[in-house]
Amino acid sequence: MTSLLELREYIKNFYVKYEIYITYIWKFLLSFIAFVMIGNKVGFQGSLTKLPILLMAALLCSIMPTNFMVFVSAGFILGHLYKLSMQCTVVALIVFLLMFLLYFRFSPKDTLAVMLTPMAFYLSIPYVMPIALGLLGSPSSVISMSFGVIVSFMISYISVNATALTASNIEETANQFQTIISELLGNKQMWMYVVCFGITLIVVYLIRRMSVDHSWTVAIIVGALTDIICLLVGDLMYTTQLSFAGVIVQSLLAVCVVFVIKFFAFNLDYTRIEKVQFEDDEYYYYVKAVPKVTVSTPAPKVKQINKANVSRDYRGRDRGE
Amino acid sequence: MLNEERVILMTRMAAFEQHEGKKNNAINSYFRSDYVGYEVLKSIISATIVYLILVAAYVMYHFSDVLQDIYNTDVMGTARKYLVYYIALVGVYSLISGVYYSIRYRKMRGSMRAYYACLKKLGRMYEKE
Repeated sequence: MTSLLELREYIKNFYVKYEIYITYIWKFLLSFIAFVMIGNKVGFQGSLTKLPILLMAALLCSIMPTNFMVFVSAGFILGHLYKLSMQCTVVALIVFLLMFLLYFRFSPKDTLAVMLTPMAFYLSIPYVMPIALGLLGSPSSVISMSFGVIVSFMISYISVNATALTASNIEETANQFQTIISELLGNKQMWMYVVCFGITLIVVYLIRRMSVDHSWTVAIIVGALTDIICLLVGDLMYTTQLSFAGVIVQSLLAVCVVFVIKFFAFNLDYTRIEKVQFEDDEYYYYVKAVPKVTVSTPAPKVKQINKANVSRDYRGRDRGE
Repeated sequence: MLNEERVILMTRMAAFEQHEGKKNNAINSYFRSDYVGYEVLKSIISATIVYLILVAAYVMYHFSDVLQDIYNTDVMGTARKYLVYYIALVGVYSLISGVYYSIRYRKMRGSMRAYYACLKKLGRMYEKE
């Protein structure tokens, strides 16, 4: 365990030191992976799946703010769908517009969740999302996650029914528009996911905020159980053809992933390097303020055998987490 | 001579300015009512666009029904119904955004007050010299 903690400190130091470059790199990689996934799922527009285009778009995303990535991904999806059929594009456009106009004016911080949720669905670890967002986000992340679930179900519906969704005349187009919307709104599995994920996120958030020992670990485990129970109950109530074994295996996988996230994000108190410029009457100041990173070694634990249930450290304090 | 304490204070303030201050400065140049009013106005506009999109989607969805009923519907009644929906949507949405932006304004004032306190401290340091 100690070597793992040292590794974490090492990675933290490394991150603090090279934060600027690492930010560029992760943004580049994340957007590139997202574009490739979109191409695999709904790659109808041939020119938008070409490697140079993807690389250039990802490069652009790496230097722009994070939210730009979400915009570009939405643009990619619309571009692909436009090649397939007009009605799919219109439906997707409506969903995106509602999302951007109604919600993201308020909470631009959460925008990334909309993109990460479909990616998690694609990698078949969707249960990571509610737990991870409950740990790292706020209750309002429920809305962006729900949008993410809707987007991912919309995309997979279109990709599965692609051949049936190409209309030739206007009447068929109108009919298909109707079909897409009613299929999407009537998709019980989607709404079940939205509700279950919402409940899970809130539960994880509430437990994480409680001032008990190991609140994060408890939150993860209780969250995963809540998720499984909600999904199975929902499945029994609405018969959504969810595979029980799949839910449990994927949840276990998700718990593993979330524990890795927890390991790195717990006590995420690093302060960044600040580069600032200012002046007074006498000087110009170009200051680079580097935060002091302290490697905290755990205090040795003295166990007294002759007293029952005593667990204090050598300074006589109770050892909490 | 460099006054170390002063440099530290100024560095902290400059770092604050770089992150929080940039956002807050835009808010800071408004009175509370102007800021919230402006944001609510933006909310009304975006809610209107959303409403139009929803109506258009509804019409497309019930395309054949709408075409059939276009001559024998009660125009005034329908219009009134749509107006009520519109007002409900815009009302609820602007209420939410009004509350949200008031809270944000108050928070911003708090952090700006701390910043001004630092500024005063800095001023006193200069006076001492």
